[in-house]
Amino acid sequence: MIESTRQDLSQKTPLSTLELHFVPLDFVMHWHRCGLAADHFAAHLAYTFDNRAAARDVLATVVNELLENAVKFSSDKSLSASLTVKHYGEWLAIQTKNRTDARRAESLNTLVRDFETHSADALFFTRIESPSGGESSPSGLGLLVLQKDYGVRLTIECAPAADGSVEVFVEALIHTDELENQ
Amino acid sequence: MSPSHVVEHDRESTMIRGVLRLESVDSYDVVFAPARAHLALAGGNYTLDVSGVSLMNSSGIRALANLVLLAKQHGATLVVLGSEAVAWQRKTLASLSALYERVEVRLA
Repeated sequence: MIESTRQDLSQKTPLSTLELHFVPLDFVMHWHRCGLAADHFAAHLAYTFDNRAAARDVLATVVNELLENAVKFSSDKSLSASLTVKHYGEWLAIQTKNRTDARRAESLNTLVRDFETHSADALFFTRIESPSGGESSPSGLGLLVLQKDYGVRLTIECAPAADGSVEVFVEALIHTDELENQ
Repeated sequence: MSPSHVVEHDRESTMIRGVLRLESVDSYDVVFAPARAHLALAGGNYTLDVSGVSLMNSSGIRALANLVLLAKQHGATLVVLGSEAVAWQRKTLASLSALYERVEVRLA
């Protein structure tokens, strides 16, 4: 279902595209700016909704989570990363790209496999009661919350890069009707 | 720049207002230190009022969950005050009560 939606969207031109290109180190030095950037994107997108405040808070949560993850789990914080938000009318696609190492990529791949075999609810409690990997590895708790509580459809892809690192692509798809009615 | 959040403590409660998106779970230690100290006392009672926190990141959710697990470890009681009007509280905060029977999440 999500694959067909992604395929449909790939054939369409977004109504708008917002992009932020950055080196993660810049946000590590001034962490508060993750939130500022997320809030800015959220306010811009929420403006067209009847219930702007509700849409803004949900969007700020989703954008901030993906941006914080891209910053935190970039292995080399001087390599370029990006945040892209595409507005397709019925759907919003929030995407991040960053580079990571094999260990963190494996944590993400484990999460992807877990998503296929467990409910987000069950995984949420498992991850809370048995955290693994410490702060330097993605526990996936934030992504689980997005899926469990905000109706976000997640795609996570890890691909080897030419320099030996791993390129991570994360996409959160949100249906605009659901966003407004949360 | 003004602080994004305000924390007020007394002997048996902490009240937080604002936006809480600190960079790591450990960063929340300062915010939750009095709660942690109190909950580590066997049979202690503590009230955490986050109803005024409009946004919280996943590190904060993890830190809150750790407080619940600490209360469970020591048999303490934790009351968490939240707001139905705030999305993350309505959606995520309520889930924490499933972790331990002596955690009470009250959404007003």
